[in-house]
Amino acid sequence: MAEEWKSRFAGKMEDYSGQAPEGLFEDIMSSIDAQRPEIVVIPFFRRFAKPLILTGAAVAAAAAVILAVLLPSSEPMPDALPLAEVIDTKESILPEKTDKADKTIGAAVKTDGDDKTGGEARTDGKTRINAETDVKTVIETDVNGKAESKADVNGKSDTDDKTDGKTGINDKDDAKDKTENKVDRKTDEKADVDGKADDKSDGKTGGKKDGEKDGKKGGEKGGKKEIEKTEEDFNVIDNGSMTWQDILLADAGKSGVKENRFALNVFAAGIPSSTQSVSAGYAPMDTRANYTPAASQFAYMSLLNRDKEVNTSTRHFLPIRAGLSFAWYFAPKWKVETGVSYAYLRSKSFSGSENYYFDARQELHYIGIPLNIGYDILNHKVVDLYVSAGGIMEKCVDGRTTSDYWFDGDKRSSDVEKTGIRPLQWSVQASAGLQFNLVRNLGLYIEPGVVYHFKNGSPVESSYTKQPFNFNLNLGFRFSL
Amino acid sequence: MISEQTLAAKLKDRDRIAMKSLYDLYSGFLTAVCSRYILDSEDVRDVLQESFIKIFSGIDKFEFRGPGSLKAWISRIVVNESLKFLKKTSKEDFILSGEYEGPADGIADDITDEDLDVEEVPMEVIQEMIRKLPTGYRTIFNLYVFEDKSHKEIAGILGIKENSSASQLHRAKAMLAAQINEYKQNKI
Repeated sequence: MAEEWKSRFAGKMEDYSGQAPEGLFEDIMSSIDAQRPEIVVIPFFRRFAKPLILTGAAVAAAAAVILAVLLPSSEPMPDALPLAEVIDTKESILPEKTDKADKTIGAAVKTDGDDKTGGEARTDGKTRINAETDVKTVIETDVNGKAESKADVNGKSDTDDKTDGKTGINDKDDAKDKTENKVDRKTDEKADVDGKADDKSDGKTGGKKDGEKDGKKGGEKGGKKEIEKTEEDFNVIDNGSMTWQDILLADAGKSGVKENRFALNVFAAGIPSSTQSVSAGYAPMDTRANYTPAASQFAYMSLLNRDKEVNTSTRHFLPIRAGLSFAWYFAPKWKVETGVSYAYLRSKSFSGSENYYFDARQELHYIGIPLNIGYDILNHKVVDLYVSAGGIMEKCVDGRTTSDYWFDGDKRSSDVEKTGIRPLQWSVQASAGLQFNLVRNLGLYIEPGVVYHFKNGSPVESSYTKQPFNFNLNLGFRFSL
Repeated sequence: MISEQTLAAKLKDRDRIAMKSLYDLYSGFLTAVCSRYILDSEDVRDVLQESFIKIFSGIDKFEFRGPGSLKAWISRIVVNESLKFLKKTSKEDFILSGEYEGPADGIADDITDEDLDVEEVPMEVIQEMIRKLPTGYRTIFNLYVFEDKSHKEIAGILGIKENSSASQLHRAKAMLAAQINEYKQNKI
């Protein structure tokens, strides 16, 4: 048999096995993954199943704004009660006001719900632009002095028959539900508001209207695009028959005026709230078109997940803020405030399938300079009430994203990437403040408000981009000098 | 152990566990096949990687034809990739086409099956002996012995003359016989 050697040779070596190169399988998987870019491209067609979860805390903050506005002047306030108790106390003291207050709260919630929806329930750039336009329109109307924001509240409260809670805090859950329900009926309600706005404004809020109006002007300074317009408006007033100073002095005559010319504020802010969204595919918080997580495990993981359902759930927490500011009364009851603030933005996401996923934690640190104009509605020896509006310019000074890769319950690797945001972040805000004067020169203040963060073009998602219109609750001490 | 048929079916479903199973089952074998063609270990790695990608992405083309057919199919892919690599990287024609016509040295004509008796020789030693053959001889030897190709087929694959394939195989056998003989001598 001439070929016997051949079969013997082949037979002998049939099961011979060498040592496969180290890490070859991982390389193969990465390389297969690289050939299938659609796995990573998915994020750009993300759809948000749950566009927004607005927590009760934010609604409570809005309710507090309204309550604060409605507070009567003579009741002494307990010194350092938490917000909830403060509101309860007020409610029991003022039973006859309850109905109105409740309605107003409902209205406020509604308004906010609308704004929220406009700002959040969207999936693409186009809608985003529309949402921004809406907000701008509202602000511009304010600047023109029609006191539409107040009118909105009243107009709505008249038509709103759904509020059934007893206090701002108890309303929390109802209000939240409503806010979510409102999404569909957004358009109708908007039409209502527009229709009622003008004729519902009444004398009661007259004084505040001015405050709001002018405060808003200060707010516009925060937004680059608006600056010119604001200046024009100032000029118009200056050239009018009644001067700017005349208006201020006229207002000042109505109630007590603070003697102090300066104040130093130490404040902190943070509402334990977040927005959560779920989308199909991998959706890194850095939304750059060519961005994929740097970790080598990502490619391997996406290969393992190739035929699994892959989702990303992202949660952006509201910023935690702290800072120092300085106020100067440039006219009786009118103050301008500036300072420095630090903000910490935290986000979390889970991306992948049940068995193979990574959880990423993004942390951003901002340093900002606020500029606000405030107007004292009421100066009392125990309580001060004021409104304020303005803007803040912030710069992201540091940021990082830590990702842990999990394979069947094992943490395979942890990867830290630097997250940078180059453009400045501009925001405008409006708030109402309630200050309890603890001792002669020291007050404790609580300042609920709303804030709008402008888009700055950065691909990095955060609370600022995902929830540009938001509630804010400042707590602080004020030293009057 | 999972059957080849089931494994192939799962691979067609792009089952990632099946991919790992296939790799675990055959990567050692395929490494051995590949390193009989290619000497440099980095090159072996590259070729294997390319092969596995071809295997996983081309699994739909595989038809199960009984036990061993999957192993045969994947090793054919590795052999093809190895040949492709050799053709691409060899500066000149790596087959000494037509250069060698006559019988190899003195012993060439009378290589017996005994001369190539590898019963007592460990597999890794045989592997190394094959790897010591010049590239052209080695390639032809591998194709002839392990891939069961005829000289006609080898000639077609490598683009050489049929008798050139035969003579180079003869030469390879002679060199192997010498090595085997030497091994046995040293062992005794």
